[in-house]
Amino acid sequence: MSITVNPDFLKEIKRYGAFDINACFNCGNCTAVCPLSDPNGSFPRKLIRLGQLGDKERMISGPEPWLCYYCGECSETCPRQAEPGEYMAAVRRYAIARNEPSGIAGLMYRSGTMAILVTVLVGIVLGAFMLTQNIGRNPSHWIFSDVSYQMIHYVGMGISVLAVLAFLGGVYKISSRLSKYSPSKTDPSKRMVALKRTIAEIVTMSRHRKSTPDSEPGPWYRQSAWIHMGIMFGFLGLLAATALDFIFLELLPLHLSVFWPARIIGTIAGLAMIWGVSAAIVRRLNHVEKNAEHSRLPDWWALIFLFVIGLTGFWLEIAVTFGLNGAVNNWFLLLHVAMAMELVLLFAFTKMAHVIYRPIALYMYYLNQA
Amino acid sequence: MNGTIEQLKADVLVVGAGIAGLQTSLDLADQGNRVLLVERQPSIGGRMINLSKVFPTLDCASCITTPRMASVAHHSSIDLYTYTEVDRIEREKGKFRAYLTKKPRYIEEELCIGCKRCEEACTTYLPDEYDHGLGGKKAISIPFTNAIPQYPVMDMDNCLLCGSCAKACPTQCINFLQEPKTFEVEAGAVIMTTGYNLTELSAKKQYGGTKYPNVISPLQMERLLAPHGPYGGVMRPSDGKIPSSIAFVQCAGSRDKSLGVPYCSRVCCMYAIKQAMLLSGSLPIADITIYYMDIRAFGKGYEQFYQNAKAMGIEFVKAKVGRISEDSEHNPILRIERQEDVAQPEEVTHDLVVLSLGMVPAWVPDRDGIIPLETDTDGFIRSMNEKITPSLTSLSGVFAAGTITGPKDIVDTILEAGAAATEAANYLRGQEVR
Repeated sequence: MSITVNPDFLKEIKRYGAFDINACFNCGNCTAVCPLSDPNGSFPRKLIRLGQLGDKERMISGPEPWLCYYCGECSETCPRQAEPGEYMAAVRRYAIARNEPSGIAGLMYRSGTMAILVTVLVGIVLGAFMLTQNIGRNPSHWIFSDVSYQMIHYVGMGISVLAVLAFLGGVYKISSRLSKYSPSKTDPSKRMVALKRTIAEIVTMSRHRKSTPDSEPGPWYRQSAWIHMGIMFGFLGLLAATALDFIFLELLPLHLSVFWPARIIGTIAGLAMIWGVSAAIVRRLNHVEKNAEHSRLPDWWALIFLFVIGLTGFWLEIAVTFGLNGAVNNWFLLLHVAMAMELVLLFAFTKMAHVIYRPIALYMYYLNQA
Repeated sequence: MNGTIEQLKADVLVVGAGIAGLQTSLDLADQGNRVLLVERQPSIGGRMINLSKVFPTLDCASCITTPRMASVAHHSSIDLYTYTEVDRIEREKGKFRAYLTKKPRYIEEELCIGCKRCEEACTTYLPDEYDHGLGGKKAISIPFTNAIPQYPVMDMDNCLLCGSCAKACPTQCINFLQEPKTFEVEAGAVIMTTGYNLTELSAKKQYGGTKYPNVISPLQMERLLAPHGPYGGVMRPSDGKIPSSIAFVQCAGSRDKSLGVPYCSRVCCMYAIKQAMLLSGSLPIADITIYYMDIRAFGKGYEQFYQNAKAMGIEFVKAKVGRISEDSEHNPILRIERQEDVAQPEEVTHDLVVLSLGMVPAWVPDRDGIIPLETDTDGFIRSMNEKITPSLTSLSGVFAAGTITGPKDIVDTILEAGAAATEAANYLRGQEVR
């Protein structure tokens, strides 16, 4: 396949963060030092080379961008200080932007001001909508006196449908990209092996742990793979609790009791998530890892959202359990619900989009390996 | 130390008796200046006397250095103080006052005849620092065969005080109670020629630190290649096997910000090529590979030297080594990505690996004191007018030559030593006229 070399493409990538990549002179140290790179998934230099040539399609059409966990060892040892780890992050941001058609993700990644503007705007619209629409305004409980339970229910369903659509769109986009450069015919048994390995990887995070530098300080609960696991399972648990709550609402009106099973799941998951997010924020603030040196606003986005949602969630749980009636609690509920919905609504446009791309990339990687 | 401190006088004080210090001392002394040369090691000769051969001529390093060492030792205008530390140098009214401490060798030097009986009698074996830990030495020993002066040094930390050496000594020169001795020197000018250290073999954790016995430093390889080296031939440290596949890892201690050495050390490409050539001479069937980012053959005849090495069959692989591990037989495994062909990581196993380490200054004023000269951001002494008078430092009357001002090869070091001698002589005449 012939391509036209486009040296200006690096300028485009640099808008997503890879500010020093011009310094790269292709020594290959990054790939050689990378604990995860192998002949099946070779990075970062392959992607840098593709970027330098301007072959943007091939650059984001392999599983490679998503096989990297940004441990930062390549950036630390790069003889040119070209920050290959940061380049990988920029490629992922670029891929997220390219995989959604609206252009919102690109806007948010390229400009911090736009990221804040979009976030605040969507939040206000969501909040205002829920406050002003007059659906089922006969509160079953004091906490729903400003924003009714039905309102949350309907908006939540709408948001979920949109999110599922975005999810499917993302799946379609990356699958069609990945399949372009992968063997077209694979037998089903290999697919099964790849699927099993992908699920095993998602559950155990073994690649993430493998990329953790040996020098990583502290006990397990301060290490990035475990922190990520806390956030991921916390998030999934909360998702499951919410879904259960939705499903059983009509059957059992007891759903506000803390001892209701869905609530117990939610509490445990919430605690795991709060721990994970707090630990991640502390790591990022203390620059424990190389990647924290160049954090962009959208990299903070998910952490801040999850942190605020988690904290307000627990506050509300306490308020409901002990009947702490008060206007401030109603505002907390609005903040909590609006942010949770915004998180789900915008997930395909932010760092959260990796929940679509990383598993599919892993699957393709294992399929090529099988 | 009993009462009065011995007072000495010289026109020029030279600190460091490596090839730069030797050359600058000879140049000054030949012009009739009185030179006091201080060396903290027991022997003069510095790093160069430790080398096997030099690029690009493949001359024997000893054959060039030893005559200069002998000339310095026998020069009527040079006072030599070996095994002596310079504690500090003060500047007063255009003159300098230096405070020296001579470390005890635990022998009476004026009685010693260099017969080596003590060394033969000694019962304690220690790793030999001259062979960079590859060979052994006695607790009392003359540093190396062609050391100057030929006085043995006792390692008091490891001596058993058994007295065997004292019994063997024909002149009763062993003195277990010897104390350090201090001197004061008044000098008109100072030339600093303190040279370099290699970056630490253990510095880069991706290369295993010093965990792997068959990953060695380039100075260790120099000793393996030297005709009077520790094993009498090229063998690898772990099991004495004659290696059939040897690799050089370029930029293992330079051009690496994570080591605090972002600059190029200039000589590593050339010494690796030289060692590769010497290896292909001593081990004709061995495969020799040099992993490099780019080859910097900067001097006269160097590019030809590099081309010759390629023609000799030494393999040059354009790839930076990312990691080193080893297999169960202590064979080092290098993880690389070739720049040619397919972009993917691969692992290559060798019998012996040399890390081409970089140069860092041996003496850093901020860290080690002595005299407050300005340094550049890389830690080397700042040359005040690099293009016109490279040996000028930030202090008037203090000059610098050799690798103290930056990484350089022997050719440039000797040139700079001559330049520093001329500058120092000019300075002294200027002070006289005033």
